Amino acid sequence: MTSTKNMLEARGLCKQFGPTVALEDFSLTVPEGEVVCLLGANGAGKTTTINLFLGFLQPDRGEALVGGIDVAEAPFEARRRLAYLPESVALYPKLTGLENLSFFDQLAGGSRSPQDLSKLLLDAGFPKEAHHRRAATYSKGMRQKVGIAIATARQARALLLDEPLSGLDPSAASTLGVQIGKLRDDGCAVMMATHDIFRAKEVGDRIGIMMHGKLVNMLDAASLDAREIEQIYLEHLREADASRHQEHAL
Amino acid sequence: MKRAILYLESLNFIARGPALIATAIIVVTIGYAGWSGDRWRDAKRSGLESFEAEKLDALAKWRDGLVQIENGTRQAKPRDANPMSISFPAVLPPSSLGDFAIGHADLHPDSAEISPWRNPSSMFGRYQFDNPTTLASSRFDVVVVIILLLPLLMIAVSFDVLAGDRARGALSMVLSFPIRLTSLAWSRLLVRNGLLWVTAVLVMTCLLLLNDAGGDRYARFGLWLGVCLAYGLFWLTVIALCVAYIPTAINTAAALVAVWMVLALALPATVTTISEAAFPTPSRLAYLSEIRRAQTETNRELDRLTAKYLIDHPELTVGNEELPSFYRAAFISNQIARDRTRPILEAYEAARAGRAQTLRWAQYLSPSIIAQRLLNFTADADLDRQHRFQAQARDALEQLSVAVGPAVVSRNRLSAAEFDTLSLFSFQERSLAELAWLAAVPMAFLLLSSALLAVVAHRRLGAIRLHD
Amino acid sequence: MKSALIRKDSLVLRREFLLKALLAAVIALALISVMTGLQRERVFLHERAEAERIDKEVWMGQGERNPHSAAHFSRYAFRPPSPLALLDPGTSDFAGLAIWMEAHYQDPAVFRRAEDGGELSRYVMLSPAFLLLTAAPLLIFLMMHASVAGEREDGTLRQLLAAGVRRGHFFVGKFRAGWDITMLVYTPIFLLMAGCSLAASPAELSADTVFRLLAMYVAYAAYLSISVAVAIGVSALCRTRQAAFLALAGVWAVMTVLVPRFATDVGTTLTPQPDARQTERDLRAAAMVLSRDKERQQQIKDDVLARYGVEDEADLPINYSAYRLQVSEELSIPEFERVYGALEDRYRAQEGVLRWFSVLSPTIATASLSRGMAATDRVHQRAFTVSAELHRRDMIKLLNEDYMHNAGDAGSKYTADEALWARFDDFDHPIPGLVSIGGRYIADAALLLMWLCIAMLAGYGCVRRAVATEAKAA
Repeated sequence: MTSTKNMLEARGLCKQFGPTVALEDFSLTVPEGEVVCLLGANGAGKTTTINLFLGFLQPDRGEALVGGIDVAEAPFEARRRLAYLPESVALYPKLTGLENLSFFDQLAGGSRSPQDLSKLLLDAGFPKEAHHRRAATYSKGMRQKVGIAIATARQARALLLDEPLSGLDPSAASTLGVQIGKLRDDGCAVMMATHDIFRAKEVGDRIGIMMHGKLVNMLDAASLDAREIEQIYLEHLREADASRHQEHAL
Repeated sequence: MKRAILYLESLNFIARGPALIATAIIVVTIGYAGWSGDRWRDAKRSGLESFEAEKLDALAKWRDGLVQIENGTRQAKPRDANPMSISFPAVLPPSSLGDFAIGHADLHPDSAEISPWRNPSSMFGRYQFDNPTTLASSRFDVVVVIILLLPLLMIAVSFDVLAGDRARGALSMVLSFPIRLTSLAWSRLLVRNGLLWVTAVLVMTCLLLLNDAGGDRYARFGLWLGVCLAYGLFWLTVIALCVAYIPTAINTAAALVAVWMVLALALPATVTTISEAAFPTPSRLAYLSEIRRAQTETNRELDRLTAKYLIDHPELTVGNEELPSFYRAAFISNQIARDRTRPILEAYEAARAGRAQTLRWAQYLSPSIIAQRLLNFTADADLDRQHRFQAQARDALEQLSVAVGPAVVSRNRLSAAEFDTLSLFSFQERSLAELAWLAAVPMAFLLLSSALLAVVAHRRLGAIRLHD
Repeated sequence: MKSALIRKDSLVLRREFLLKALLAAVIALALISVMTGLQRERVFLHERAEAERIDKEVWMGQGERNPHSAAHFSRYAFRPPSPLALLDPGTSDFAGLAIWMEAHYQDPAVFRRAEDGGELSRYVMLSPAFLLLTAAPLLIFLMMHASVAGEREDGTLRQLLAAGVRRGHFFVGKFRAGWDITMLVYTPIFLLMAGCSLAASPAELSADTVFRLLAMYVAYAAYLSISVAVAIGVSALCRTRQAAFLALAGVWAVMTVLVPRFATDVGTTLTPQPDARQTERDLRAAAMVLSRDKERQQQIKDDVLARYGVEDEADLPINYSAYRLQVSEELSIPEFERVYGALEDRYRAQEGVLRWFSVLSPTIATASLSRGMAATDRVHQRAFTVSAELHRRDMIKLLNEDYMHNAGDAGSKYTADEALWARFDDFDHPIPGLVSIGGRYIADAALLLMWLCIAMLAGYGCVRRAVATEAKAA
């Protein structure tokens, strides 16, 4: 039986693209009010994991559960409980930030007033003077903040973040980190893919290290400092490379 | 979800997007085409009305003269009230929906003189006064807008409904919500193209009311709209198919423009060229040569031909010998011309039937051919109507020749009572039921092929995985 | 550096699969249009020769007849076939092929081949000229849409700028690459179509025909060059391939399909086509100008009696009826010229509107030049009708004069025979040399040249702007 506390749960997920193994026997649980960061290089399987939880991909084996619902069986039911923030939040450039938020709110079945939506934007750290400007003029940081507001508006119990802080200046990344922390404090289960060790340490409660489609370690972020996490990560990287070389040699 | 898509499209497409330009193009082009079509139809109608009035007036005077001679109130000269001088007008009236399509109606004769002086070649008079340069380019009627322009506008507003969002990364964001890709794609396609078509239908309805010409205009307009919408539906499903199968916007647009070029231009041009080469009509010059030969023969052998005619009609007694022989010569010459050119006309009809048969099958190669034909049929701008008018006028001439021939050759007058048995020419239109029957199969094909394309597109859209 | 750019761009263009597929389709259409055109022209030439032969046969075989009766019977003038009609049928199918040169009346040219066309013939007709005017620019636009926009989208333009490429060289490289491929494809296709057109014609190859072909080749080459420059210019205005493609598809539809049709319609709406029935009434009135004027008839009679110093027409040394017929013909001439002159003015006004619309689309000027060079336009039709009318006047005059001087006592019973019919030359109207009517095409040629200059300058200007924008962004 699945614990209701576990909003996101992966059970032995496997995904292969042709000969390439993208994810192998991946299991993980993220309870409400916790941020789990998936740390790994490009191609480690972080985005594949998020896409499996979104139902954009079908697993070859295993299950991805959102609030106990199997995504492969009932993707729409599962998505009702989810919010998603990609690496670069894509907004409709001809619409203002407020209009974009209103659209996504309606898409989720909401019907908030412009005042409520404006408040959500302000809460996400989005400057008031930009609310009525077209999104085409926004910086990446501003778009990410609108993304946070969209996620908040959905009142989702689980949040999937795919490299949301990459390419942001330190100040914007820090602000966004604070916003993610707020969502966690509100009881949201957060899974964040990143290759930034220091941000993972700052935002995450637990850090899962991924190598070549496998979750090789799960670390408690509070008990380690960033340098220690980096040492562990590099060690895993060396081991994984050595093991791959051996496989090639054979 | 639908509310959200409507909200998005109302801002992204309608208020700040290409919708305004597209709808403005539709309003201007259809509005202009309808206005210019109405002017053209009015000019045509007034020309025909004055021709008809002039001929009927002359005919009434001719009859008055005949009655006066019969009553003895007028001293008759040999040429007075001669049956050769009977001349009925035959006109092809402009259609009640003629302002919507000009088609073939500006090229062929629309009036004829039913008179024993005339033969099947000369009865349509001299009508070839239009500028060939402008005739060659064809008119810009509502059909051109519907067939050529609207699909292009549909492509322009729809080709990026998925690919645009996909390229910007917005698609994965949207699909992280509980919404199906199929619903998203169809909703956006329907909103965008619906706006274009609602505009087009509204402008056409305005034209319908403003240029009202009575008759069966409203019923025809109903069929017209049916054809337009079926054609629009076909293009919508073609666009949906390309949107579903082709991931990038540039390739979707390229494929759709290529499909448009093939369906709207290349196939109709090829089908026309091949069917005309396969079924060549007899030359008009050969037709002319036969008429010339008939005239020479009559000139040489008038006496023999007259005698032959009189032998064939033993009941006739020769009347006024003072009447010049050229009356009789002209009549007989025209009869010979008619007989000699009959095989040519029959061969012409056979070639035309061959072409029509080819086109009946070939139209299924391209919805543009189907729609173009049906719209022209609905607005009576089709080639067949022109030929039916010519055939009916020739029949009327033949009937008149049968009625007046004996009197002309025997140099007698018709009696007023005999004259009154002759009926005026009235063009027999194709009935609306016939029209509907004619349109039924091609329309069903358009709708069925649209349904098939829609199913394939829908399945494909449903099978799309964003990151596979 | 310039040649390196040309080589690079040529290579990129040659590797476009879509382009190769479309090119194959257009070549297939060109072949179909040439094959069917060949068949059509052969049949037509045979029929025309046959009609001419029969016309002569019936004229010579009409037997003994009063010359005025023969004038009514008369002969037909047939339009000369153009050796380049297969290449561009122009307006020839919409203009009459034959003119009846009858007494009293200047007939219009009748028997328009378009009336024998099929259901779709008014919608679209396939011919080599149609392909060059519509399909060729589309191919060029498809080939060139990414020329600058693609470089901007991929960021390679900035790399080129960093490598020191000058904007002038950049434009020349793009233009030459597109132009070289265009000419490489266009030249053999044009030669093939021209060769087929000449092969179908029974006429010997004359210097005028070669000159016309050359002019046509140059006109289309200019048109295609304009298309290349427009494609580069529009591509430079867009930041992405997609935007450039869409913009060029729109430019193509407007330039080649919509504006020419729209212009025609505006022309015929502003200056409507003549009412055929009214024109026929006017011509009939022109023919009867003397028979309806009793006073003038009397005055003519008085004049002729006075001239010959007799008091009764029976004493005249000429047949008075024949004399009056000839005077009637001569009095009708200015009236006919007035009616046909008004028609000509009307046509020119319509074509004037078309020429104004040439400012929006080079297709109109090119089409006009093309059919002019192919001798299938209205200018050549007009030359034919004028020539036929002059021949008609000479012919009727000769017949009336024979009647006038030889009728003697036989009066209206006088008949002439084959000896007289044989005195008439067959109507022969050679296609006017380009040297003599070339002036009619200067405006179109100037418009095309203007388009070429503007397209090149605008194309370069747009590239300059795009380069400046990218340089700023860098």
